[in-house]
Amino acid sequence: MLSIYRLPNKLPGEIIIKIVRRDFFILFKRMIVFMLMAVLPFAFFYLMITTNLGLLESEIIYPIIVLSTSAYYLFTWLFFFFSFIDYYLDVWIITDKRIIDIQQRGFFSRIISELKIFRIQDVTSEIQGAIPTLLKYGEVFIQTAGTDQRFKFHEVPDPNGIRDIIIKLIQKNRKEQSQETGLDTF
Amino acid sequence: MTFSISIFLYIFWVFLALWFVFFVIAIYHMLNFGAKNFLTVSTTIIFVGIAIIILMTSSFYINQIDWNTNVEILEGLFDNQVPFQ
Repeated sequence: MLSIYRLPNKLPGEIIIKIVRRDFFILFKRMIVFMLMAVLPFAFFYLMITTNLGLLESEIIYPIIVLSTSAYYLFTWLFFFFSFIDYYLDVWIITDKRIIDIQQRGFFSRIISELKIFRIQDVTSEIQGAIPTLLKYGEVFIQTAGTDQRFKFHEVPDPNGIRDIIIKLIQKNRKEQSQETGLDTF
Repeated sequence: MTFSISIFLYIFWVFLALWFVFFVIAIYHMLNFGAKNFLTVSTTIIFVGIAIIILMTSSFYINQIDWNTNVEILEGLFDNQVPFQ
């Protein structure tokens, strides 16, 4: 189990500043979908009972209904749990020295990336849409000196706050670095 | 043509075996890669608990069915009768 107090390749004296997951609304949307899926068989049974009562007494139809309903609920529940795992195991960890991006992409595919704070050149936060604006979740883009965009915090709560935290860490990190080298780089 | 309805039960068991494989994979992922905290353990317990409830409810209804029943379909289709005689 990933201990939240045991970071991958922990640096000496490294402190966790913030652990970020996608906004709870993302999980809530999936919960609504699965609740509707759970209710669907009841609507089907209601239609069946009101149109043809004899179906439940059939020697073939009733066993098929029982087995297919059981399979449906087992599949739905398992699928919901996979959806939760996809949400829960995607995490961004902001420390005072690094940003660690842990992404679970389906089964048996886990990508862990890290970015040193002092390499960050630009941090951009973005909130687009009516619901994200109301619920205050959005994206944070982190750019290093390279041309490719390195990190993206996707659908995270309070992206402006996360941007501010990272910028403050960058400033603190560069100040410490300049003090260590004894050179004033700015 | 006559067949036993237990064939549907065998198909269901195959589905259940596959489902169980993915069930174990899901628990493995949560416990192996999830953060070491109460939320990880509690959500895993809830998942397993509700899965057990679904299985027990299914088992209750499945056990009420007589799976040794034979059903005849396409009855009379292959009788050797000449029409209009």
